[in-house]
Amino acid sequence: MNMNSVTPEPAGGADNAAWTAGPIAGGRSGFRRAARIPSLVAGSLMLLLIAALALLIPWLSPYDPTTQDLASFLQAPSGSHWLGTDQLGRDLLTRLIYAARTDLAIMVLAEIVPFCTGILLGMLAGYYGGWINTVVSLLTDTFIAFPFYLIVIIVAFASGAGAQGIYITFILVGWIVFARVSRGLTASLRQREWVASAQTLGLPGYRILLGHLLPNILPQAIVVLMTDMVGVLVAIVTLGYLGIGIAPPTPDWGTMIADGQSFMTTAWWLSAVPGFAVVYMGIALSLLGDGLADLWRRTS
Amino acid sequence: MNKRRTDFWKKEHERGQEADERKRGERVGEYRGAAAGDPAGRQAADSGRAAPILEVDNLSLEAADSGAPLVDGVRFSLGRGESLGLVGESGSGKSLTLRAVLGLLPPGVRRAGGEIRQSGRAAMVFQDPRSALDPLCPVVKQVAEVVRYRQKKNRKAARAEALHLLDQLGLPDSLGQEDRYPHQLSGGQCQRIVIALALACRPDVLLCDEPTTALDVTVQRQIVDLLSRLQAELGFALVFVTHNLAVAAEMCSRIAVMQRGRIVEEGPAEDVLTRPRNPYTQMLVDAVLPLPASAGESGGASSDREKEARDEHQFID
Repeated sequence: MNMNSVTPEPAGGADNAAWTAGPIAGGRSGFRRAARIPSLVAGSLMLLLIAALALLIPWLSPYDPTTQDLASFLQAPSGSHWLGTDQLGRDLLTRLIYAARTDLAIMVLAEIVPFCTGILLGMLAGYYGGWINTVVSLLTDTFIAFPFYLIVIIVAFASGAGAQGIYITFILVGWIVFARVSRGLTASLRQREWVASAQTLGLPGYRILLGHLLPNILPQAIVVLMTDMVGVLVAIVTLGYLGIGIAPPTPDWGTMIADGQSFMTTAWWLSAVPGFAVVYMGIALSLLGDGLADLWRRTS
Repeated sequence: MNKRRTDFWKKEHERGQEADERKRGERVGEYRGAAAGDPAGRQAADSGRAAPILEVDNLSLEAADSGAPLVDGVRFSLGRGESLGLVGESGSGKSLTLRAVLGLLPPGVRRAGGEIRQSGRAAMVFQDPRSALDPLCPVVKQVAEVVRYRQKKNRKAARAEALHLLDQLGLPDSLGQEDRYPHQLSGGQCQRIVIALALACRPDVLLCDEPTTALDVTVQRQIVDLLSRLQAELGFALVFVTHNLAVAAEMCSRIAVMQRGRIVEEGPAEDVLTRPRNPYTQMLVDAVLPLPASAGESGGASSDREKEARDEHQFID
C-alpha cells in the first residue's frame, strides 16, 4: 500500500480548508467568539456542573455513598432523600454523584494513552507512508472489523473486575479511532504546498510532524475525542451493568442500573436515574464536540 | 517604467508620516543603488560561466500512469549569480522542471531520464504564498525556525536574524511584536515571508515558481523589484518561471522558452524578445497587449499602486 492509496477518512477531512483557520488558543477574542456558540456554551456548562458536583459532593451531601441503612431501604423521593434510597438504604442522589466521580475519572484516564498513541501512529502512517502505513492500516481495518464489545468483554474477563480492564482495553483498541482520523488528515495535509516547502527548507521530519502538522490536526482530533469519550463512558457503564466492571460497593452508574432492575415496578427511578445520567453526559460531550468544531471552523 | 517607479517611491517618501513608511522611504536610496549596479553585476556573472552552479541535463518527466511525456529533454545550466527566465504558456512544463530540481514532483509524475547536477543550495519561492505557509504558525516563528535549523543558531539568535531578514524584505517591525498568522497578512506580505524563508537557507540558487502570478498586479511590481534587488545584493543565481514576458525580461539576463515540455528557444533576454527565431516565441511576444501610449501614463496606475501600498500596511494601523 503506498501513499497514493491513503484516502482522507474523516468526513470533510483536511481538504476542507475550513479546518486550518485560526490557532486553537484564541486569547480574549477567541473567548468572545466561543461565547457566541450555543452548543459550546451549553456543553461546557453541563460538564462544569457535573464536574463541580462530583468534586464537591463530600461536602454537599450528608450521606455516605457506601454506608448501608437497611431501616430505610427503597424509600420514594422525599425531603431528606431527594431521589429516594436504594435497596440497601443508601441515598440515591449521593450515590449517583459519587458514581460520576468514578466513571468520569476512568473515562478521562482511559482516553489519555489511546489519544496520544493514536494521533502519533496515525501521523507517522500518514506522513511517511510505507511499511508503517501498511501496519497501521492493517491494524485499524482488523480491529474495526472486530466487534468492539467482544474485545472489551474478553479483556475485562481476562484482567478481572475493576477499572484496569477498561484501561487495558482502551490502550489496546482505543487508539484506532484517533489513528484513523490523524492518518487521514496528515495524508491530506501532506499534499499541501507548505509541507513540501518545509521539507525543502530543511526542517527535520520530527519538527514538521510535531511543530506544524500536529497543531493542524489537533482541533479535529479533539472533536473526535469528545465523541469517543461518550463511547468509553457507555463501555464503562455496560461492563458495570454486566458485573465485570467496577466492583460494588464503589458507586458506578452501570451497577446502579443493574441493581435497580429487580425493583423496576415499585421503584423505577433506581434504574432510570443513572440511565439519565449517562444520557446527560452523552449530550454534554456531544454538544461540546459540536461547539468546538464550530469554533475551530473558519468563520470569515 | 523606471521613472514611474522612482516617482512612486518618492511619493511614498513624502507621505512618510508613519515610522514604517519612513523606513521604506529610506530604503529607496539603497534600492536605487542596487538597481543601477545591477546590469554590470549580471554581465560579470555571465562572463564567469565556467563553473555552473545548477546544471539540468536532458531532463525528462512523464506521467506515472500513462507514460505521457510532460517534460522532454530539457537542458540548461546556470552559473553563479546568473538569472534564467523559463517562459511559456500553462502546461508547458516549466513549473515541473523547476520542481524536479528540488525533488518536489507532484504525485503521479516521475522522472523518465536525465540528470540534475547541483553544486549549491537551492530554495524555492512558491506561486501561491498563502498556501506555502503553515496557516497555524506565526510567520516570524516560521522564518526563525528555518534560520535555526539551516544556520545552526539558538532560538534567540534565530529570531533576531529572522526579524532582520524581514526588515530587509520591507516587512513592518510590528510583525516581531505580536504574533501574526498568514491569514492576517496580505498576499504581497505573505510572498515576502516566503522569500524570507527561502533566503534563510542562504541559497546559491533561488527557484521562483511564478512568484507574482497569484498577487495583485500592483504588488507584482514590488515583488519583482525586491527579487532583483536581493539578487544584486546577495548574488544568488535565479531561475524564474513565469508566463509574463515583461517580468522575465526585467528579471533575467537569459530566457528559455518552453512549449509542450521542450525548450524551443534560448538566448539572451533581449535577443529572444526582440528577434525571436522560433514562431512560438514570436507568438508569445505578439500576445502581449501593448499599453496605449498616452492613456497608460495618466496616473491611474500609480494611484492604484499607492492604494495597494496602503492596503498592504492596513493591519499595522
